[in-house]
Amino acid sequence: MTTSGDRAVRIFGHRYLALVLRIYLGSIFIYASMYKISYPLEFAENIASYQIVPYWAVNLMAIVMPWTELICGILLVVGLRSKSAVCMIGGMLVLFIVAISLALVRNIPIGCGCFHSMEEPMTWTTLLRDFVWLAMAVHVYTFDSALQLERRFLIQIKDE
Amino acid sequence: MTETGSERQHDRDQALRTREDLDRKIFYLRTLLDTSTELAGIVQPQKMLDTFLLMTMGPLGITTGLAGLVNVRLGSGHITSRGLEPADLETVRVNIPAIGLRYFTEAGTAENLTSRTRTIAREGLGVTRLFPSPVQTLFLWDLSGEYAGFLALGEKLTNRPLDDGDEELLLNLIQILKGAMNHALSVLNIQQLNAELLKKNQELEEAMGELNASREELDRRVFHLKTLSDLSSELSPLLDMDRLLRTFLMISMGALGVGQGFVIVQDRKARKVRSSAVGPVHEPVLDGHGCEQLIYQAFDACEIKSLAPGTVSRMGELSFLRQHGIEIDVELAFFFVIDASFMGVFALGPNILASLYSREEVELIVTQISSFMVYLQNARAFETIGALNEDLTRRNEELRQTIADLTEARHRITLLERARAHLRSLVQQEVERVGRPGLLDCALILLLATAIGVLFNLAAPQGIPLVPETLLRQRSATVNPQSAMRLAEEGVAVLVDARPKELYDQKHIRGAVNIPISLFDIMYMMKLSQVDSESPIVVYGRHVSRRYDEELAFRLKQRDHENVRILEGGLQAWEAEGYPVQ
Repeated sequence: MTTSGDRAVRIFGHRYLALVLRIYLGSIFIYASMYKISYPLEFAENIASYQIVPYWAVNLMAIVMPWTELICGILLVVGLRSKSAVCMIGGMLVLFIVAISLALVRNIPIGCGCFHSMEEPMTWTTLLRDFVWLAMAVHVYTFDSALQLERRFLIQIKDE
Repeated sequence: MTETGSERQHDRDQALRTREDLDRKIFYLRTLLDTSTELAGIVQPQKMLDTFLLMTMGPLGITTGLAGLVNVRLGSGHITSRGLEPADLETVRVNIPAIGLRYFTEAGTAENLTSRTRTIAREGLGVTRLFPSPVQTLFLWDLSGEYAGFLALGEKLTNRPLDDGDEELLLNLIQILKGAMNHALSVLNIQQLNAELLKKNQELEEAMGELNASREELDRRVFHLKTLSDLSSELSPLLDMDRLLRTFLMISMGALGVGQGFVIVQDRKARKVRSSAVGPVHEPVLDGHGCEQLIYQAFDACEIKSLAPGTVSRMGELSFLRQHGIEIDVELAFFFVIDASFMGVFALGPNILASLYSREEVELIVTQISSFMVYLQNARAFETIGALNEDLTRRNEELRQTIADLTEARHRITLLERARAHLRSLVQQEVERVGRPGLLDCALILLLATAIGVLFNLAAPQGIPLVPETLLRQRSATVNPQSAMRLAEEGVAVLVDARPKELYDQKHIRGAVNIPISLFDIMYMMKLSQVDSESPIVVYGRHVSRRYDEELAFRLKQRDHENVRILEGGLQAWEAEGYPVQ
């Protein structure tokens, strides 16, 4: 029992699992940023629809956020500054969760705007999905150590 | 003398005998005079004995006689005879030492030798047989000093024995002989002394000559030693090879009075040739090969061919020196060997007197060269030490430079190690930093995203303004909910909801028309195109993120609607007034 439990813990906390989740999260964010970068006006409308961001900051956020997602996604995939990147991704997921939660609580009939503007209205499932992604981010933050470009390079210098 | 006769005849015969005696005495005296005269001029003992014997035998009428002179100490003597057989004479001659021993020494006779004369008759001679038988009477006498003499006489012609008169005559004759012999011996002694004196003088002269020669030799040696001393005192402080050569040449030439000279040395090990010349000559310039050839020819011309260190050898053949540019009338040249790799040639021209060099001068030169070689060796050793010192100094300098380089390198290594440690700490920090998130990273990501996003947005055709345009436009005129309600009830004004359709569907003012901004053109054509441009239009719909009413009012004004008002407070104020919503 203990052995299987330890094995489960070991598998759960395995660095390659964290690597897979890291690449997955990074890919998700890269993919999500593509549409938002291509259609900033629609994304601005999505942001505005949440009725959280002040109206003067909506456009700026619509311009900056997709690029932030893209850069963090790339950093996660290549394993460069992955801790900071996963933190920012986690922060954005928390922000999304808060926004979605508020929207759901306030019953604002909007799509989440995560990937496309023409989405179905968000539901609690959307919120759960974001929680799952947040859990993945926490896992990556905790257990990720494999195939980190930066760490690999620095450790080589350190070992000389 | 025996007297015979009677007394009678005595008187008669007395006169005759007296006369005879007188005649005999006269005869004897004459004999003595003649003998004395004859012996006076004779100095040779042999001749004196001959004359004495003749002068003795003649007057006495004796036929056989023998006279001798004996050196008692030496056992030798002179002997002469008359009427004696040669064999008998030889016998006596042989017996001279025995005669001396028998008659003239204290052991041989009971009588002391005195200056008197002894007479021994025949009967007294029988035992010894030192004299031949004809001898009847022997007279012995001694002379001063170591000489003695004898006279041996035979019988008279008359066969009568010697009477007293004869014996007295003989004794007197012997006395004369002794006097003459003493004189002669004295003369001989004087002559001998004179000869010895002359010999001594000659020896003294020879000794003086030798003394003078020794003095000259001594002077020469003193001169040599002084020359060598001067040479040593002049050469000893010199350590420079060229000055050494020059000084040696000058001193040697000065000591011998020579006007031209030349010296050259070759150090094969150091590959150096040094030379010096004095006199009306051009100093030859010899390179290593030329000097090598000169040294070889000099060695070949040596009388003694030896390469042992310290050798100084005189050269016989000198003509080859001119082939090497030594334009000196070389009279004397030497080849010297300091060691197997250090040799030289020393050449001198004629001296001032144009005379040949003496053996002593050659010896002096050889000695000078020997001393010179010592100083040459010292100078070379000094040069070697100097070179070693220079080498040592250079090596010290190199070592110092190396130490400085090493110190600098060590300093550099220290710096590099510090840098490395710093880098390691930086890397360590970086590695540690990689393991944790950083605000700086987040800020950089945000900054990068902002920069790229803004630049991309500016360049992209679908770019949007950074801030809403409504923020920059002039605010539209507003109308409070009461007025709006009144205008709506009067049917004058048109209420327009500018929000998206989803929000409109949730709640809107009753009777309001929904014209979302995104569908403005279509919805305007459908719902407001018939509205008069002067009719009041009340627009509402905004939230924290959007001001739809401002945008819609702006667009309506672009469609020439002049009386477009924005509802103050929006839907919330409307509801707060209790006005109907739907």
